[in-house]
Order: sequence, then structure tokens, then C-alpha cells
Amino acid sequence: MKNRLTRFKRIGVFGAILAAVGFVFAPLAPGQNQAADAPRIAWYATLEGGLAEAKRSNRPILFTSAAPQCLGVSGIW
Amino acid sequence: MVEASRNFVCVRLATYESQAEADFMKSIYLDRTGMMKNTTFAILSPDGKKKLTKAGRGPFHEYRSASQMASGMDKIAKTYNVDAESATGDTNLPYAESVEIGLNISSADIIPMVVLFSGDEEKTKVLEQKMIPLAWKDDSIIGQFTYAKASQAEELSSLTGIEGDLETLNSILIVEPGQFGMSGKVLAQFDEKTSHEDLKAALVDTIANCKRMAKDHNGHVQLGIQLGIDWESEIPETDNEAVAAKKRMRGDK
Repeated sequence: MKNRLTRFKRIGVFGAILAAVGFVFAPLAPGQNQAADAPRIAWYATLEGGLAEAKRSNRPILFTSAAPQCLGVSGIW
Repeated sequence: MVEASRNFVCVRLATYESQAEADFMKSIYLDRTGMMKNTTFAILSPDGKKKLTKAGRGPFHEYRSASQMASGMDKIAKTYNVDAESATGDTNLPYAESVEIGLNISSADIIPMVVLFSGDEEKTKVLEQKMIPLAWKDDSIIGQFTYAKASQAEELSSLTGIEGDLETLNSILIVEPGQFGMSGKVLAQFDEKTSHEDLKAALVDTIANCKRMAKDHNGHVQLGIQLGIDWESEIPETDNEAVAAKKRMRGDK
């Protein structure tokens, strides 16, 4: 199973996700050698909430999406 | 880059958990075959209608490094004259769509969660007014929690350790997510009469002391499959490669 996972990672989907998530979200992963109280991005988790605040405050939007599950296993980006 | 992000409204949607949000993601980026991928990235105007950077699966389409991205974000923020007050004056909490999705996000981020629970809308607003200044104006707490709110007892079915009668409960619950984000343990609980100081102290204590499970990506996925965990998203996945890989790994035909 591990070999198949590794192969899948090489072919790109994990790579792309990790690149996207890791690059933007690196400050979010205390489990990955980050202090518990390290500064983190404060994310709106719904479009409705984020858009409402952006319009109210006239702030630009740092927008991203990612699935908090991998191959159906939850709890991981 | 975290500092640069404070001048932005940062929106990270859980892909495949809302059709309306998926429609928006599709308006931002589709692959060459016209399909929505697992991840999407762009910087957008405040109304969400104009792309201020290239859109793609991640920021690497526009930026080569985190420092370059921070610099680019600072330039964009200047064009919108973002000031300190607007950057910390958010008027609501950044709720997840549900407690269930919030727990999953919380587990994936490896951060604790705050759940506001009340069957009374007015009392929910009172609880929110306790949390909002801490969530957006306190440097030690900004970005350190996932948020969700609930008004029905069944929405809290995945949480353990709640004290009191759910029929009459009005509480801010501080929650430690489980390894797979399918359960959560209440670490502390406060009602609408709690003081700012007591609530802050509990939040800071949670940041420092809650259990954070380091996750090896492959190991987490392998264990999850072995345990039979199969997250069912709200809408079907459209990323062909991910769908095919899931079938292979789970032995589906």
C-alpha cells in the first residue's frame, strides 16, 4: 500500500495539493515542526462569511480551497 | 506572510462541501478539461469578482516563494488603502459550515476549535460578542482556532465532555479535535456571563496545552483506510486523478 501511495504522490495530485497547501498553509501546521502558538492565518471557512466581511471592510480576498480529506480519509489536507 | 494576510480577508473553502461554493470555485479556476480540482487559489477584489493574480491550483502560478508572495500581497493591500482598524474590525466569527466540517478542518490544521451553542439566537449573539474581540483583535488568539456554531443538540453529537442540559445550554465550548476530525473533546466550557479575562485565559491555555497530533500524510491516510474511515463530502469529487486514486486504494471497481 505504501508503494502505491508513493507512486500516486509522484504522479501529481498529492504533489499539487501539498505544493498548494504547503506553500500557503505552512504556517498552519504545528504538527509539522511548528510551535503551538506560532502566528497563523485566520481563515473564513465559508464563502458567505468571507465575502460579507470583504465587502464590508473593502479588503481584498486571499482565496483558496482545499479538501480536508485525502482518499476519503478525513483530518488531513 | 501571516503578517501580510492580516490586510486581507482570507477565505479557505472546503472543496466539495457546498454546491454554491463549488460554483464559485469553478468561476475562479478550472483545469484544461473544464473540471474543478481539489485545490484553487487566487487573490480577488473585495467583491470577489475580479482576479488580482493568476488563478490556479496554488499560489505558485503567481509567486515563486512565500516572501515574494508576502511582498505582492502588501502591494495589493496598499491599492485598497487597508488600515489597521479595517484589518482587525471583523464583525463576525469565521464559522465553518457546520460543527462536523469544522471538526474536520480543525483536525487537518491541527488546531483546537471553538463551538458556540445556543438554541436562542439572541443568546448566540451575546456569546459571539464575547468571542469576536478575542478572535480578531488579540494577537495571541487570531487564527489559532476553527469556529462553528450550533443550535440543535444533535449537531453536537460528535463532541464528548459537554456539561449541562443541551435543551437549555448556552455555551462557548473549547474543543480538541480527534485524529480524524470525526470527534472532539470539550476541554472548557463558558456561559454568557463569563469574563473576557477568564475566556482569554482558557483559550491561551488551550493553544499551549491541547493535544496536537503530528501527522505523517501517508501514514494518516493508510491508517484511516485500515480503520474504515470514509469521509462523505456534500458533493461528488470532480478531480479525476483523486477519484481514480481513491478507487485504487480502497479496492473499488
